[in-house]
Amino acid sequence: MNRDNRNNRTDQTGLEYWERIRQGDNTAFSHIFQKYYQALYQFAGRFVKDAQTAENIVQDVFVKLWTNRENCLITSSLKSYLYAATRNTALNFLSREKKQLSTEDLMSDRQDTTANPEEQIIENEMIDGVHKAIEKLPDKCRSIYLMKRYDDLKYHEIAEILDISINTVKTQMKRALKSLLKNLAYLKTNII
Amino acid sequence: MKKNIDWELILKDLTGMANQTDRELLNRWFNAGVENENTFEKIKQIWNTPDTSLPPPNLKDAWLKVKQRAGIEEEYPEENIPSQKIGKKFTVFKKVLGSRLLRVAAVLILFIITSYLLFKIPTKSEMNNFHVSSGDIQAISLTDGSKITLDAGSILRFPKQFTGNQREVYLNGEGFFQISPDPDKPFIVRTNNAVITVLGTAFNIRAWQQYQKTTVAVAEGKVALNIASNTNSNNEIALTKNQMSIIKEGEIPTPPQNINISDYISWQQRQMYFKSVPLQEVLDQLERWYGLEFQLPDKSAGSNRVTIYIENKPIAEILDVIALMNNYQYIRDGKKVIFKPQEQNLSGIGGI
Repeated sequence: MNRDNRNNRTDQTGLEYWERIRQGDNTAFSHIFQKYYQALYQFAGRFVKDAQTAENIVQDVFVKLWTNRENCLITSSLKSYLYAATRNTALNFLSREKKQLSTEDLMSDRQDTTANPEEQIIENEMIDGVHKAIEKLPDKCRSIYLMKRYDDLKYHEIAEILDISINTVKTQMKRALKSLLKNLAYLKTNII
Repeated sequence: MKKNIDWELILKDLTGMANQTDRELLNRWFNAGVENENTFEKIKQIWNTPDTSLPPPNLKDAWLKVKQRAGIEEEYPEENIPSQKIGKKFTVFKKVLGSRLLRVAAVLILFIITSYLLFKIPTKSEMNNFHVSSGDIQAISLTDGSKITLDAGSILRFPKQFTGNQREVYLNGEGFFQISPDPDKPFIVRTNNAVITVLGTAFNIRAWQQYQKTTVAVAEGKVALNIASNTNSNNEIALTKNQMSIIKEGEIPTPPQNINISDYISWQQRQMYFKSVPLQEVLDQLERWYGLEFQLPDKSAGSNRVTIYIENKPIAEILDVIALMNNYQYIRDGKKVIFKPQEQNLSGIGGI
């Protein structure tokens, strides 16, 4: 199946909006803002682990998109551009601040919704197992896996955002899934 | 219940690494009892919840900040506030009613109008049937200014003129509704098994009769949802922006669930996200969109659950993905597509 060499898929609707934004149409800008703000905020949150910082980062991205609209070159996908810009801004922030909290700090916020204690134990075990398995993944592998799973990005979009080939994305994804399955297999014996 | 859980099987499915045999085993396990499916749903929910998600942001505040920093003057689109309108009408009414004579006249007129309406309501006005042919997506504007976008194969039944104190339509299929606000005349959509009542808002309904299931997702405003058969108000639930609920035949509405609304309305751009649905449902959708006919290796194959994102792209690419996910190969003969089991067992990655 030759689905691999298609790095140049375009996001037509996004580009139409981008053209309107470039011409100074602030309704189009507001639409794109409403469409992507929340998703980009969660995406940024995975890097900076702080709500306020994540908001600032994504707001920066949008302000820059508008103020630089005449000089900004977006040719294949507005969505990929926004994710890439958010990622870069977040990484810049981290290298400036050099403070990255561990995921444990955030995990304590999770709400418990199940009343049944037996189910709760299974649930907790499952949650911990899954998150530990994800943490065990190599960096590149993990970030691709998370982009696919939580940001619901497509392979070609991830490739564009990280500036790597679709094949690399797919290989890493396959590796991630294999490794997760291996690391989660113990749940089977552990819980039953 | 606990000892029946096959974690490896479930995890394989969730990671998209389950093959045909795994999926059959999983389906067999589903069929063994409803609680098994519930357990699976629970695990899936855990699986799909990011461990590091932040509290939801205040979109309006964020927009105000961005607008200010970027130097934009446009206002954030406000939601309609019908109560203000009512207030104004009422003051005008009161002024006119100043004199006693006018008050008597008003009572008389009111009496005439009421008796006219009482007479008028029971006579059902003539109905229109709007049928969208396969391969098509069509929008229709109703006389009250409401706009409804309907997917291929859908049927909407509505009166030529809205009379009486409510606006009522019938849907078999899928539609995105943008309803003109009218606080005095609620808009009601009836499906096979659900009643959806709104005042003025935007929402999506997926209600194909053959699945005996109605899914309602709200894009703007608020919607009341109830089962069709027994309109006991105890069963009614309210849905607001970015929430959805499902009514299955003979069941009460599921509790509101927070969702990403674009997953539910992107069909208008020929994109659809199927999350763990029977393969048959995906194929039905492709039949409507592309006018194809499908044949599966065996009848039970249609009930295998799949998770797939379908984009507006050449049908051959979509068929490739479906074949890959299910370990099938396919032969295409004009409108006919025949899926066959793959000869050697490839373990592919699901969810492209």
